[in-house]
Amino acid sequence: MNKEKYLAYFKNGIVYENPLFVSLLGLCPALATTTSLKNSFAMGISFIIVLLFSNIFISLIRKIVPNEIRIPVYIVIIASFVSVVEMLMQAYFISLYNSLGLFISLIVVNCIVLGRAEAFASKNTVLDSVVDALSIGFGYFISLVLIGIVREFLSNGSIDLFKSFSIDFNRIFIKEGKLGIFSDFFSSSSGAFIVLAFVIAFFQNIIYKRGLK
Amino acid sequence: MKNKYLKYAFFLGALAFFVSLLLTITNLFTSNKIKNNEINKVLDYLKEVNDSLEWKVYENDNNVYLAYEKEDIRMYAFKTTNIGYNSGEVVSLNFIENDLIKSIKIISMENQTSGIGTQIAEEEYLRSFEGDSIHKYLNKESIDLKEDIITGATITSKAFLNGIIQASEYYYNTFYDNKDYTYLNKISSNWKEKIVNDEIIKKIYISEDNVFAYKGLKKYLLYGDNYAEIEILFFIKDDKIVKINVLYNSQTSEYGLKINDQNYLDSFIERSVYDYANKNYHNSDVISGSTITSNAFLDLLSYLSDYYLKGNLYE
Repeated sequence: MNKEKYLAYFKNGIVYENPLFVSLLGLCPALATTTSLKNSFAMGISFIIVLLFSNIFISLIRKIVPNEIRIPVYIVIIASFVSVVEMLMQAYFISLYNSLGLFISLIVVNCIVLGRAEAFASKNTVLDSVVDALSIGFGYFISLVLIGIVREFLSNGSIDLFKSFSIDFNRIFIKEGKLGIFSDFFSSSSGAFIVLAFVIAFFQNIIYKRGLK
Repeated sequence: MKNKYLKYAFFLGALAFFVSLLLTITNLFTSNKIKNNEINKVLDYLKEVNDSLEWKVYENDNNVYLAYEKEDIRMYAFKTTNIGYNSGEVVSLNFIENDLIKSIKIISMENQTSGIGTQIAEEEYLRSFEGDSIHKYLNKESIDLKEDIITGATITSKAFLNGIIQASEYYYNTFYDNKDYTYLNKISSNWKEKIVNDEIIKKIYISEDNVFAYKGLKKYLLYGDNYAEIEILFFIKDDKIVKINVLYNSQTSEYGLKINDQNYLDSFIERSVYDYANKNYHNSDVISGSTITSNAFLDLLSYLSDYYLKGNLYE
């Protein structure tokens, strides 16, 4: 029973209620930080950590939070976990911290996190909230990574996550530089909108064709 | 009703306590690492600027860096952060060598108006500070440096100038006296320092063989309402002048700089301090064409000699 329930949570989080491709939430960091796969990956992981811990904490205190002050309480909790993630990133992943900059702090005002706190964690058990956070978090993470891969490939002709995971399409044809078909336009914000639109269309198309809706 | 609000206050207080605890613990684990990252970032930048010198951070202060050549300190770099236009930070690196501004680099500036505030990063503007003595920026506020404030970019240039003022003051308070030992060690060894509460005398050094070195700074009226400054190290042993070194002379004119001539300064050696305490100057003491400066210099010698003879040191 529980297995089916949690599987449904994951299906919802990743496909049917994908925060970015279906609900169109969290667009700001999705457009700003997906210039490369590495940035998208880091943003996605930070997001999952914040969502997971804030959901756990909010679920734990759900019965004692006075209803009238619940929103400021949620914001304080989310902001605290964002600060923790920010400090850890600044200490141990400085290059990622420098490239993501302000967008890590802006997770505080990401409507997905507050939305899950208000709609789910404040009404459900800790275990359910953990599964919900992981499903929604992975849904958002996958979306960011997808956009990051497409944008990095279209702008540089390469995909680079770690030193050992790096693919350079240009090297198949030329020794140095990048092929003319790749354009920096896709790393700009205008390019981000276009890529996002196409990825959303592609995602919706798959759901539609497979009759999942 | 009252109880309800008390409950809210208590709940928010408890929550604040918990999150403070969480952030404090995280800060304990990360603060050193964050500081080291900041230091390494600046060190990388400094190596890019001048890789012939070996840069080191000063006593774990991530705003002060020393450049070594072999084992000697050759240059100092001070990272300063000030708030400019639109609450944006202006971060600059101020390089000081031999008490002079060697160069200034703008590391970053946030929210400064393009083409207006950003003028502070222009080569020509930055170069206008090169060669300035740090004394020009001591005990000053940015508003005092009117000629360096860019019209239309007042707030940004004030933030930038505050950086130079802070760097100069830090250098003066921490490193400026270090070079005294270059002169002191040529005369004697095992010097002991005594800080004096006096308007003119800043420090007195006493060596193991009873050589007294007085560090004195005199401010004097040059013309109109323009003042000049001269700072010397004045060595005395057995009531006789042993050596005089000019540490700082604010004048830049050919005549004003005559006082720095070591041959002129060496002409005082072996003379009695009684003569100078009583203002019985020699004919050659006043430099022709540099009367005001040499008179100020002699007044300073007189003051220091008098101080020595009165034995104020032993009070």
